[in-house]
Amino acid sequence: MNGFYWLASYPKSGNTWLRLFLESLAIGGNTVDINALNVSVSGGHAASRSEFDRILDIESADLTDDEITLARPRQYEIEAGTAKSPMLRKAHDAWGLTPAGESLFPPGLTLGAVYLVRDPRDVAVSLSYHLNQTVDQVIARMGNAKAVREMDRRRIPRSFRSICPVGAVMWKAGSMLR
Amino acid sequence: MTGDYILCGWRVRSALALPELSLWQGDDRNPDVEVSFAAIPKSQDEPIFTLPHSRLWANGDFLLNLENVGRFWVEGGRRVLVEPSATAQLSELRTFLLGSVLGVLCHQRGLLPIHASAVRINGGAVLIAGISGAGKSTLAAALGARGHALVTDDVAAVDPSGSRVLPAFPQRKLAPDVLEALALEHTGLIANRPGLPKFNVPAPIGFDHESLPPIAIYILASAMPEQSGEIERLAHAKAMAHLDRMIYRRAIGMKIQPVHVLFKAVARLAQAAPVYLLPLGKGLPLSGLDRLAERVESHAQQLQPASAKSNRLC
Repeated sequence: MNGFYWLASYPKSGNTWLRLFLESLAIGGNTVDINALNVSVSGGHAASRSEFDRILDIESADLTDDEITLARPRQYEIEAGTAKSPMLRKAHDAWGLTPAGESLFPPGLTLGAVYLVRDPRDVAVSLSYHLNQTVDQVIARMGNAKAVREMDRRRIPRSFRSICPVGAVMWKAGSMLR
Repeated sequence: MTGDYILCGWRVRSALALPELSLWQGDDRNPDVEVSFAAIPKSQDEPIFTLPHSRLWANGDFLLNLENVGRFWVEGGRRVLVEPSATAQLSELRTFLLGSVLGVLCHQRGLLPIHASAVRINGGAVLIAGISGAGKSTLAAALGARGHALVTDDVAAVDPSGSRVLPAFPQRKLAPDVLEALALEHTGLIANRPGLPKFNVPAPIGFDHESLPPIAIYILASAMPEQSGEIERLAHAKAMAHLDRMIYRRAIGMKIQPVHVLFKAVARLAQAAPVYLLPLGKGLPLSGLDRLAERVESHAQQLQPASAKSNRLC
């Protein structure tokens, strides 16, 4: 049984940069292609739909948000059960519980977490470009604790509607780290 | 109450009404598949493979378990038992019956189910394969808007020789923004699950139950914007590697069918039809949807069904 290091952050906080640094570190400090992140080294997205579908052999498009959330800890268990080395996963989810009351990110599979914090004023500018919305719209979104990530224009995005309130401080509260 | 329908060329007798399927009009053979409502039998043995929603036994018996929808028992490629949950809607039962259960039936019957939608061009099947959310149904619907009949949506059952694709049923699942982009009527459509933004959209025009040869397989792949555009033909080994990842219900299928059997079926399909990578940048662009469909159409129209060529694979 192996486990995960979660790279948790609000979007536009430097998560991908961190993964690139880690990837470079893994290959002896050599240059990496910033447009072709090697997910086998720097880890994929914890809320990746395609990985969920592949590992659990089911169509997430046919499941409700609650059904998906309930099954996500199972996905991580299966991955951890077959992994040969510790895994990195990027996460924009707030740390929290599934509808069944268990940790979305199972403590028993958690080796550690890095919670990236960027000055929210910088995040707002960056997110405004990313979402093609005004800074004021983005600030309203950042202040909404119930906001979910819907950055993709397609209705069924590539990753699940991860919850990413600014109050992702729950990662810091760290009841997941045992 | 019961009806006989046609699905992938099979005579399907179903206690669950399946309005998306056509009624059986073939010979008076016994049903190939029977779907009934019944309590799921308790198996004495331990399953050989367990996933959160799936269980598989050594003899190939399969159980799909969705707490809010129901349980589906699939046996021998012929028998399906459905035990609905108290709150299940019939449309939800059909979503899983015509999805995962269909995929498992294919594996149990020795077919190769590919995660692809398909349309008919030049008398052959053009498969649009890709992972969930890649845009298979969307591109197939855009090709449909250009006059190409639907062969199947989401699951393409291919015979193990790789030479025939078995049409499933004339309906696809589309998101509201795709309906809008293609100017398709929204009213009266039923969602795959209540509240989810995917709608079952009929596509009856030109649908035909005759199996047809695959003439091309396009695999939708995300790529950086500067790489998108060129349709790339994959060499045989690479085509096989890509197709292997496109096997529908792959984790379960690899435990139902011997791995070498699936490997051979993939090899034959890659031999029967050219496999292309269609790089799409960051997803399928709805604004340029018709242009993309036109490109795929003109590319595919230059191809001929494999049956017109010599078939050397034994």
